[in-house]
Amino acid sequence: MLPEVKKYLEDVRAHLHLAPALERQIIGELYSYFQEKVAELQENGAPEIAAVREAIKSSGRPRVLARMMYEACNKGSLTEAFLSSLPHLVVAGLFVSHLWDRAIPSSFVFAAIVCVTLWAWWHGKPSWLYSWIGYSLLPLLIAGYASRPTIEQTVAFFLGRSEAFPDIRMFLLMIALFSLGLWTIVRTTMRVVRRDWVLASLMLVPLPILGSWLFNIEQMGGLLRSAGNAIYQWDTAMSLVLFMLAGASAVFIRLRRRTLKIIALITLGVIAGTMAGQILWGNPGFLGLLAAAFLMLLFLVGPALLEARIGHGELRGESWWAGEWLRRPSAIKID
Amino acid sequence: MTVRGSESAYLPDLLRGNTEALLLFLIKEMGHTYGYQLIKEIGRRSEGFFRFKEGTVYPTLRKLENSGLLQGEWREMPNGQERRYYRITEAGIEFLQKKLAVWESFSTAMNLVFKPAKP
Repeated sequence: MLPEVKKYLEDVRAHLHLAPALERQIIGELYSYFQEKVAELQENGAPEIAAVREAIKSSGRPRVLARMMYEACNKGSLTEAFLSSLPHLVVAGLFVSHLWDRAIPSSFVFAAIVCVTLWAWWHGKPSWLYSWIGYSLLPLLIAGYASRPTIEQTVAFFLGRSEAFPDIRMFLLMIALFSLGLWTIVRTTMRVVRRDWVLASLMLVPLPILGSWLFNIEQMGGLLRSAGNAIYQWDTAMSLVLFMLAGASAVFIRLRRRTLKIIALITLGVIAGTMAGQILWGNPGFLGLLAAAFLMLLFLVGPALLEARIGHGELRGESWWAGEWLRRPSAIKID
Repeated sequence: MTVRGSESAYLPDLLRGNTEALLLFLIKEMGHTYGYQLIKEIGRRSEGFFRFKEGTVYPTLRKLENSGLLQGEWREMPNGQERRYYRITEAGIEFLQKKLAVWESFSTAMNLVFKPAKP
Protein backbone atom coordinates (compact mmCIF):
# COMPACT_ATOMS: atom_id res chain seq x y z
CA MET A 1 0.00 0.00 0.00
CA LEU A 2 1.33 3.43 -0.93
CA PRO A 3 2.35 5.88 1.81
CA GLU A 4 -0.41 8.33 0.78
CA VAL A 5 -3.15 5.79 1.54
CA LYS A 6 -1.45 4.76 4.77
CA LYS A 7 -1.22 8.39 5.85
CA TYR A 8 -4.86 9.00 4.88
CA LEU A 9 -6.12 5.98 6.82
CA GLU A 10 -3.91 6.86 9.80
CA ASP A 11 -5.43 10.38 9.76
CA VAL A 12 -8.94 8.89 9.72
CA ARG A 13 -8.10 6.54 12.59
CA ALA A 14 -6.55 9.33 14.69
CA HIS A 15 -9.91 11.15 14.69
CA LEU A 16 -12.30 8.22 15.01
CA HIS A 17 -12.37 7.97 18.84
CA LEU A 18 -14.15 4.61 18.73
CA ALA A 19 -13.37 1.25 20.34
CA PRO A 20 -10.03 -0.04 18.93
CA ALA A 21 -11.56 -3.15 17.34
CA LEU A 22 -14.33 -1.14 15.67
CA GLU A 23 -11.75 1.35 14.40
CA ARG A 24 -9.84 -1.50 12.79
CA GLN A 25 -12.99 -2.83 11.15
CA ILE A 26 -13.72 0.60 9.68
CA ILE A 27 -10.13 1.08 8.49
CA GLY A 28 -10.25 -2.47 7.05
CA GLU A 29 -13.38 -1.60 5.03
CA LEU A 30 -11.83 1.63 3.72
CA TYR A 31 -8.61 -0.24 2.90
CA SER A 32 -10.48 -2.78 0.75
CA TYR A 33 -12.25 0.14 -0.99
CA PHE A 34 -8.89 1.79 -1.78
CA GLN A 35 -7.52 -1.48 -3.15
CA GLU A 36 -10.45 -1.90 -5.50
CA LYS A 37 -10.72 1.70 -6.62
CA VAL A 38 -6.97 2.03 -7.27
CA ALA A 39 -6.93 -1.28 -9.20
CA GLU A 40 -9.90 -0.16 -11.31
CA LEU A 41 -8.35 3.22 -12.12
CA GLN A 42 -5.09 1.50 -13.05
CA GLU A 43 -6.98 -0.87 -15.36
CA ASN A 44 -8.36 2.23 -17.08
CA GLY A 45 -4.81 3.42 -17.73
CA ALA A 46 -4.06 5.70 -14.78
CA PRO A 47 -0.57 5.42 -13.25
CA GLU A 48 -0.57 4.09 -9.67
CA ILE A 49 0.23 7.37 -7.98
CA ALA A 50 -2.50 9.23 -9.91
CA ALA A 51 -4.98 6.44 -9.13
CA VAL A 52 -4.22 6.65 -5.41
CA ARG A 53 -4.59 10.42 -5.40
CA GLU A 54 -7.92 10.18 -7.21
CA ALA A 55 -9.17 7.56 -4.73
CA ILE A 56 -8.13 9.73 -1.79
CA LYS A 57 -9.73 12.81 -3.35
CA SER A 58 -13.07 11.09 -3.81
CA SER A 59 -13.07 9.96 -0.16
CA GLY A 60 -13.04 13.53 1.12
CA ARG A 61 -11.07 14.99 4.02
CA PRO A 62 -10.00 12.39 6.61
CA ARG A 63 -11.28 14.47 9.54
CA VAL A 64 -14.71 14.81 7.94
CA LEU A 65 -14.89 11.09 7.14
CA ALA A 66 -13.82 10.25 10.72
CA ARG A 67 -16.40 12.64 12.15
CA MET A 68 -19.18 11.13 10.05
CA MET A 69 -18.12 7.62 11.06
CA TYR A 70 -18.08 8.67 14.73
CA GLU A 71 -21.57 10.11 14.44
CA ALA A 72 -22.77 6.98 12.61
CA CYS A 73 -21.51 4.69 15.37
CA ASN A 74 -22.06 6.79 18.46
CA LYS A 75 -25.67 7.67 19.14
CA GLY A 76 -26.88 5.67 22.09
CA SER A 77 -30.43 4.38 22.52
CA LEU A 78 -32.74 5.48 25.33
CA THR A 79 -31.89 2.23 27.17
CA GLU A 80 -28.18 3.03 26.93
CA ALA A 81 -28.83 6.58 28.14
CA PHE A 82 -30.73 5.19 31.13
CA LEU A 83 -27.99 2.63 31.87
CA SER A 84 -25.39 5.40 31.75
CA SER A 85 -27.30 7.49 34.28
CA LEU A 86 -28.15 4.51 36.52
CA PRO A 87 -25.02 4.49 38.77
CA HIS A 88 -25.53 8.21 39.51
CA LEU A 89 -29.17 7.53 40.37
CA VAL A 90 -28.32 4.53 42.58
CA VAL A 91 -25.70 6.47 44.56
CA ALA A 92 -28.10 9.44 44.75
CA GLY A 93 -30.58 6.94 46.22
CA LEU A 94 -28.06 6.11 48.97
CA PHE A 95 -27.94 9.81 49.86
CA VAL A 96 -31.71 10.32 49.70
CA SER A 97 -32.28 7.34 52.02
CA HIS A 98 -29.29 8.28 54.29
CA LEU A 99 -28.03 4.72 53.87
CA TRP A 100 -24.55 5.57 52.63
CA ASP A 101 -23.01 5.04 56.10
CA ARG A 102 -24.61 1.62 56.57
CA ALA A 103 -22.14 -1.11 55.68
CA ILE A 104 -24.57 -3.64 54.18
CA PRO A 105 -26.55 -1.47 51.72
CA SER A 106 -23.57 0.59 50.56
CA SER A 107 -21.31 -2.51 50.21
CA PHE A 108 -24.07 -4.21 48.23
CA VAL A 109 -24.51 -1.18 45.95
CA PHE A 110 -20.79 -0.78 45.26
CA ALA A 111 -20.25 -4.54 44.82
CA ALA A 112 -23.08 -4.54 42.26
CA ILE A 113 -21.58 -1.50 40.48
CA VAL A 114 -18.16 -3.19 40.31
CA CYS A 115 -19.73 -6.44 38.99
CA VAL A 116 -21.67 -4.60 36.25
CA THR A 117 -18.53 -2.61 35.35
CA LEU A 118 -16.37 -5.75 35.02
CA TRP A 119 -19.06 -7.54 33.01
CA ALA A 120 -19.46 -4.62 30.58
CA TRP A 121 -15.67 -4.13 30.35
CA TRP A 122 -15.30 -7.71 29.10
CA HIS A 123 -18.41 -7.59 26.91
CA GLY A 124 -17.69 -4.96 24.28
CA LYS A 125 -17.16 -1.84 26.48
CA PRO A 126 -20.53 -0.25 25.60
CA SER A 127 -20.74 3.53 25.78
CA TRP A 128 -22.86 3.43 28.98
CA LEU A 129 -20.02 1.66 30.82
CA TYR A 130 -17.92 4.76 31.53
CA SER A 131 -20.09 6.33 34.22
CA TRP A 132 -20.08 2.94 35.98
CA ILE A 133 -16.27 2.82 35.94
CA GLY A 134 -16.15 6.13 37.80
CA TYR A 135 -18.19 4.73 40.70
CA SER A 136 -16.20 1.49 40.65
CA LEU A 137 -13.08 3.55 41.28
CA LEU A 138 -14.73 5.29 44.25
CA PRO A 139 -14.13 2.44 46.77
CA LEU A 140 -10.44 2.58 45.79
CA LEU A 141 -10.43 6.30 46.49
CA ILE A 142 -12.10 5.71 49.86
CA ALA A 143 -9.68 2.87 50.70
CA GLY A 144 -6.74 5.11 49.81
CA TYR A 145 -8.17 7.88 51.95
CA ALA A 146 -8.83 5.48 54.84
CA SER A 147 -5.21 4.30 54.75
CA ARG A 148 -3.99 7.86 55.28
CA PRO A 149 -3.99 7.94 59.15
CA THR A 150 -1.95 4.71 59.44
CA ILE A 151 0.57 5.95 56.87
CA GLU A 152 0.78 9.38 58.53
CA GLN A 153 1.24 7.82 61.98
CA THR A 154 4.07 5.56 60.77
CA VAL A 155 5.82 8.36 58.89
CA ALA A 156 5.52 10.60 61.98
CA PHE A 157 7.11 7.88 64.16
CA PHE A 158 10.09 7.44 61.82
CA LEU A 159 10.56 11.20 61.59
CA GLY A 160 10.63 11.32 65.42
CA ARG A 161 7.45 13.37 65.65
CA SER A 162 5.44 10.66 67.42
CA GLU A 163 6.13 8.32 70.33
CA ALA A 164 3.47 5.76 69.41
CA PHE A 165 5.03 2.67 67.86
CA PRO A 166 3.22 1.95 64.59
CA ASP A 167 1.82 -1.39 63.45
CA ILE A 168 4.28 -2.16 60.64
CA ARG A 169 2.17 -4.94 59.12
CA MET A 170 -0.82 -2.63 58.94
CA PHE A 171 1.40 0.10 57.49
CA LEU A 172 2.67 -2.23 54.72
CA LEU A 173 -0.86 -3.40 54.03
CA MET A 174 -2.07 0.18 53.76
CA ILE A 175 0.84 1.14 51.50
CA ALA A 176 -0.01 -1.86 49.26
CA LEU A 177 -3.69 -0.90 49.25
CA PHE A 178 -2.91 2.74 48.51
CA SER A 179 -0.50 1.81 45.68
CA LEU A 180 -2.92 -0.70 44.18
CA GLY A 181 -5.76 1.82 44.26
CA LEU A 182 -3.65 4.56 42.72
CA TRP A 183 -2.26 2.19 40.07
CA THR A 184 -5.76 0.99 39.12
CA ILE A 185 -7.14 4.52 38.85
CA VAL A 186 -4.18 5.76 36.75
CA ARG A 187 -4.08 2.68 34.49
CA THR A 188 -7.85 2.68 33.90
CA THR A 189 -7.80 6.41 33.15
CA MET A 190 -4.92 6.00 30.68
CA ARG A 191 -6.71 3.16 28.86
CA VAL A 192 -9.92 5.15 28.58
CA VAL A 193 -8.04 8.29 27.50
CA ARG A 194 -6.39 6.28 24.71
CA ARG A 195 -9.86 5.56 23.34
CA ASP A 196 -11.32 9.04 23.87
CA TRP A 197 -10.52 11.66 26.49
CA VAL A 198 -14.21 12.70 26.65
CA LEU A 199 -15.11 9.24 27.95
CA ALA A 200 -12.43 9.64 30.63
CA SER A 201 -14.01 12.96 31.67
CA LEU A 202 -17.43 11.28 31.79
CA MET A 203 -15.93 8.50 33.90
CA LEU A 204 -14.15 10.80 36.37
CA VAL A 205 -16.78 13.53 36.75
CA PRO A 206 -18.28 12.27 40.07
CA LEU A 207 -14.90 11.76 41.75
CA PRO A 208 -13.95 15.38 42.68
CA ILE A 209 -17.51 15.99 43.93
CA LEU A 210 -17.65 12.85 46.05
CA GLY A 211 -14.01 13.41 47.07
CA SER A 212 -14.90 16.87 48.43
CA TRP A 213 -17.90 15.44 50.26
CA LEU A 214 -15.67 12.69 51.72
CA PHE A 215 -13.22 15.34 52.90
CA ASN A 216 -16.05 17.11 54.75
CA ILE A 217 -17.16 13.84 56.32
CA GLU A 218 -13.57 13.21 57.44
CA GLN A 219 -13.50 16.63 59.07
CA MET A 220 -16.56 15.55 61.12
CA GLY A 221 -14.96 12.36 62.41
CA GLY A 222 -14.84 10.07 59.42
CA LEU A 223 -16.97 7.55 57.60
CA LEU A 224 -16.57 4.86 60.23
CA ARG A 225 -17.19 6.97 63.31
CA SER A 226 -20.58 8.30 64.15
CA ALA A 227 -20.81 12.08 64.29
CA GLY A 228 -24.55 12.22 64.84
CA ASN A 229 -27.11 13.46 62.39
CA ALA A 230 -24.85 16.31 61.28
CA ILE A 231 -23.14 14.01 58.79
CA TYR A 232 -26.40 13.79 56.84
CA GLN A 233 -26.64 17.57 56.34
CA TRP A 234 -25.38 17.44 52.75
CA ASP A 235 -27.39 14.37 51.68
CA THR A 236 -30.28 16.12 49.90
CA ALA A 237 -27.99 18.54 48.11
CA MET A 238 -25.56 15.78 47.13
CA SER A 239 -28.41 13.73 45.69
CA LEU A 240 -29.46 16.76 43.60
CA VAL A 241 -25.91 17.11 42.27
CA LEU A 242 -25.86 13.40 41.39
CA PHE A 243 -29.26 13.68 39.69
CA MET A 244 -27.72 16.42 37.59
CA LEU A 245 -24.79 14.16 36.69
CA ALA A 246 -27.30 11.44 35.77
CA GLY A 247 -28.92 13.90 33.37
CA ALA A 248 -25.51 14.88 31.98
CA SER A 249 -24.65 11.20 31.33
CA ALA A 250 -27.95 10.54 29.58
CA VAL A 251 -27.62 13.63 27.37
CA PHE A 252 -24.02 12.67 26.57
CA ILE A 253 -25.08 9.22 25.37
CA ARG A 254 -28.02 10.47 23.30
CA LEU A 255 -26.10 13.16 21.42
CA ARG A 256 -24.55 12.08 18.14
CA ARG A 257 -22.04 14.89 17.55
CA ARG A 258 -18.80 14.72 19.51
CA THR A 259 -18.55 18.52 19.86
CA LEU A 260 -22.03 18.66 21.39
CA LYS A 261 -21.17 15.79 23.74
CA ILE A 262 -18.09 17.72 24.94
CA ILE A 263 -20.05 20.97 25.41
CA ALA A 264 -22.89 19.21 27.27
CA LEU A 265 -20.58 17.24 29.57
CA ILE A 266 -18.32 20.17 30.42
CA THR A 267 -21.18 22.62 30.96
CA LEU A 268 -23.26 20.30 33.15
CA GLY A 269 -20.14 18.96 34.91
CA VAL A 270 -18.95 22.48 35.78
CA ILE A 271 -22.44 23.46 36.99
CA ALA A 272 -22.62 20.31 39.15
CA GLY A 273 -19.11 20.97 40.51
CA THR A 274 -19.98 24.57 41.34
CA MET A 275 -23.19 23.46 43.06
CA ALA A 276 -21.16 20.96 45.08
CA GLY A 277 -18.69 23.75 45.97
CA GLN A 278 -21.55 25.96 47.17
CA ILE A 279 -22.98 23.13 49.28
CA LEU A 280 -19.83 21.64 50.72
CA TRP A 281 -17.69 24.74 51.26
CA GLY A 282 -20.45 26.55 53.15
CA ASN A 283 -21.24 29.73 51.16
CA PRO A 284 -17.77 30.33 49.69
CA GLY A 285 -18.76 33.61 47.98
CA PHE A 286 -18.45 34.56 44.32
CA LEU A 287 -14.68 34.03 44.13
CA GLY A 288 -14.99 30.67 45.84
CA LEU A 289 -17.62 29.56 43.34
CA LEU A 290 -15.48 30.82 40.49
CA ALA A 291 -12.59 28.77 41.87
CA ALA A 292 -14.83 25.67 42.12
CA ALA A 293 -15.99 26.14 38.52
CA PHE A 294 -12.42 26.66 37.31
CA LEU A 295 -11.10 23.59 39.18
CA MET A 296 -13.91 21.46 37.78
CA LEU A 297 -13.26 22.74 34.26
CA LEU A 298 -9.56 21.95 34.65
CA PHE A 299 -10.40 18.48 35.93
CA LEU A 300 -12.74 17.77 33.01
CA VAL A 301 -10.36 18.94 30.28
CA GLY A 302 -7.35 17.31 32.00
CA PRO A 303 -7.87 14.02 30.08
CA ALA A 304 -7.62 16.00 26.79
CA LEU A 305 -4.14 17.17 27.79
CA LEU A 306 -3.26 13.60 28.73
CA GLU A 307 -4.48 12.33 25.35
CA ALA A 308 -2.36 14.92 23.58
CA ARG A 309 0.63 13.46 25.43
CA ILE A 310 0.02 9.71 25.24
CA GLY A 311 -1.80 9.58 21.89
CA HIS A 312 -4.88 7.80 20.66
CA GLY A 313 -5.34 4.09 19.92
CA GLU A 314 -3.49 1.09 21.19
CA LEU A 315 -0.54 0.86 18.80
CA ARG A 316 1.28 3.58 16.92
CA GLY A 317 3.33 3.77 13.75
CA GLU A 318 4.44 0.92 11.52
CA SER A 319 3.41 -1.93 13.81
CA TRP A 320 -0.22 -0.86 13.48
CA TRP A 321 -0.09 -1.57 9.74
CA ALA A 322 1.98 -4.71 9.89
CA GLY A 323 -0.75 -7.14 10.88
CA GLU A 324 -2.76 -9.46 8.65
CA TRP A 325 -5.95 -7.80 9.92
CA LEU A 326 -6.08 -5.23 7.09
CA ARG A 327 -6.67 -8.10 4.67
CA ARG A 328 -8.91 -10.03 7.05
CA PRO A 329 -10.88 -7.60 9.24
CA SER A 330 -13.34 -10.37 10.15
CA ALA A 331 -10.61 -11.86 12.37
CA ILE A 332 -10.89 -8.82 14.64
CA LYS A 333 -12.95 -9.46 17.71
CA ILE A 334 -15.19 -6.50 18.56
CA ASP A 335 -14.30 -6.03 22.24
CA MET B 1 -21.80 14.06 -2.41
CA THR B 2 -21.54 16.12 -5.57
CA VAL B 3 -24.20 16.66 -8.18
CA ARG B 4 -23.29 17.33 -11.79
CA GLY B 5 -24.20 20.82 -12.83
CA SER B 6 -25.38 21.88 -9.38
CA GLU B 7 -25.11 25.65 -9.59
CA SER B 8 -27.30 26.00 -6.54
CA ALA B 9 -27.16 24.19 -3.21
CA TYR B 10 -30.73 23.01 -3.73
CA LEU B 11 -30.05 19.61 -5.28
CA PRO B 12 -27.46 18.42 -2.73
CA ASP B 13 -29.83 19.47 0.05
CA LEU B 14 -32.65 17.57 -1.60
CA LEU B 15 -30.50 14.47 -1.95
CA ARG B 16 -28.99 14.57 1.53
CA GLY B 17 -32.34 13.69 3.07
CA ASN B 18 -32.78 10.77 0.70
CA THR B 19 -29.34 9.11 0.76
CA GLU B 20 -30.50 6.45 3.22
CA ALA B 21 -33.56 5.58 1.13
CA LEU B 22 -31.47 5.40 -2.05
CA LEU B 23 -28.94 3.05 -0.45
CA LEU B 24 -31.60 0.87 1.18
CA PHE B 25 -33.51 0.60 -2.10
CA LEU B 26 -30.43 -0.48 -4.05
CA ILE B 27 -29.32 -2.95 -1.38
CA LYS B 28 -32.80 -4.46 -1.36
CA GLU B 29 -32.71 -4.84 -5.13
CA MET B 30 -29.13 -6.11 -5.36
CA GLY B 31 -29.26 -8.47 -2.38
CA HIS B 32 -25.76 -8.63 -0.86
CA THR B 33 -23.65 -5.72 -1.98
CA TYR B 34 -20.78 -3.50 -0.79
CA GLY B 35 -19.99 0.21 -0.57
CA TYR B 36 -18.00 0.76 -3.73
CA GLN B 37 -20.44 -1.26 -5.85
CA LEU B 38 -23.29 0.88 -4.52
CA ILE B 39 -21.47 4.09 -5.45
CA LYS B 40 -20.94 2.81 -9.00
CA GLU B 41 -24.51 1.54 -9.27
CA ILE B 42 -26.01 4.89 -8.19
CA GLY B 43 -23.84 6.65 -10.78
CA ARG B 44 -24.82 4.14 -13.50
CA ARG B 45 -28.57 4.24 -12.80
CA SER B 46 -28.68 8.04 -12.60
CA GLU B 47 -26.51 8.24 -15.76
CA GLY B 48 -23.85 10.07 -13.78
CA PHE B 49 -26.25 12.61 -12.26
CA PHE B 50 -25.59 11.47 -8.69
CA ARG B 51 -21.94 11.09 -7.81
CA PHE B 52 -21.78 10.07 -4.18
CA LYS B 53 -18.51 10.51 -2.33
CA GLU B 54 -17.16 7.45 -0.57
CA GLY B 55 -16.91 9.66 2.51
CA THR B 56 -20.71 9.91 2.48
CA VAL B 57 -21.63 6.34 1.60
CA TYR B 58 -19.49 4.39 4.08
CA PRO B 59 -20.64 6.33 7.20
CA THR B 60 -24.26 6.07 6.03
CA LEU B 61 -23.90 2.30 5.65
CA ARG B 62 -22.50 2.09 9.19
CA LYS B 63 -25.33 4.25 10.50
CA LEU B 64 -27.95 2.06 8.84
CA GLU B 65 -26.23 -1.03 10.19
CA ASN B 66 -26.13 0.38 13.72
CA SER B 67 -29.82 1.24 13.44
CA GLY B 68 -30.56 -2.39 12.55
CA LEU B 69 -31.74 -1.56 9.03
CA LEU B 70 -28.79 -3.32 7.39
CA GLN B 71 -26.69 -6.28 8.34
CA GLY B 72 -23.01 -6.32 7.42
CA GLU B 73 -20.69 -9.31 7.00
CA TRP B 74 -17.14 -9.86 5.80
CA ARG B 75 -16.59 -12.00 2.72
CA GLU B 76 -13.30 -13.09 1.24
CA MET B 77 -12.45 -12.11 -2.34
CA PRO B 78 -10.41 -14.39 -4.64
CA ASN B 79 -7.22 -12.42 -3.84
CA GLY B 80 -7.64 -13.12 -0.12
CA GLN B 81 -8.72 -9.57 0.75
CA GLU B 82 -11.97 -9.33 2.70
CA ARG B 83 -14.76 -6.96 1.77
CA ARG B 84 -17.77 -5.86 3.84
CA TYR B 85 -21.10 -6.80 2.28
CA TYR B 86 -24.46 -5.47 3.38
CA ARG B 87 -27.96 -6.87 3.15
CA ILE B 88 -31.24 -5.27 4.15
CA THR B 89 -33.05 -6.52 7.27
CA GLU B 90 -36.79 -6.85 7.88
CA ALA B 91 -36.70 -3.56 9.79
CA GLY B 92 -34.87 -2.02 6.84
CA ILE B 93 -37.57 -3.17 4.40
CA GLU B 94 -40.27 -1.72 6.63
CA PHE B 95 -38.37 1.58 6.97
CA LEU B 96 -37.83 1.74 3.19
CA GLN B 97 -41.52 1.14 2.47
CA LYS B 98 -42.46 4.04 4.72
CA LYS B 99 -39.85 6.30 3.07
CA LEU B 100 -41.07 5.34 -0.42
CA ALA B 101 -44.68 6.01 0.53
CA VAL B 102 -43.74 9.47 1.84
CA TRP B 103 -41.70 10.15 -1.30
CA GLU B 104 -44.62 9.04 -3.52
CA SER B 105 -47.08 11.39 -1.79
CA PHE B 106 -44.54 14.22 -1.77
CA SER B 107 -43.68 13.98 -5.47
CA THR B 108 -47.36 13.63 -6.43
CA ALA B 109 -48.20 16.76 -4.42
CA MET B 110 -45.26 18.67 -5.93
CA ASN B 111 -46.32 17.69 -9.47
CA LEU B 112 -49.88 18.76 -8.76
CA VAL B 113 -48.72 22.16 -7.54
CA PHE B 114 -46.28 22.65 -10.40
CA LYS B 115 -48.93 21.77 -13.04
CA PRO B 116 -50.04 24.91 -14.90
CA ALA B 117 -53.34 26.17 -13.48
CA LYS B 118 -56.43 25.55 -15.66
CA PRO B 119 -58.03 28.75 -16.91
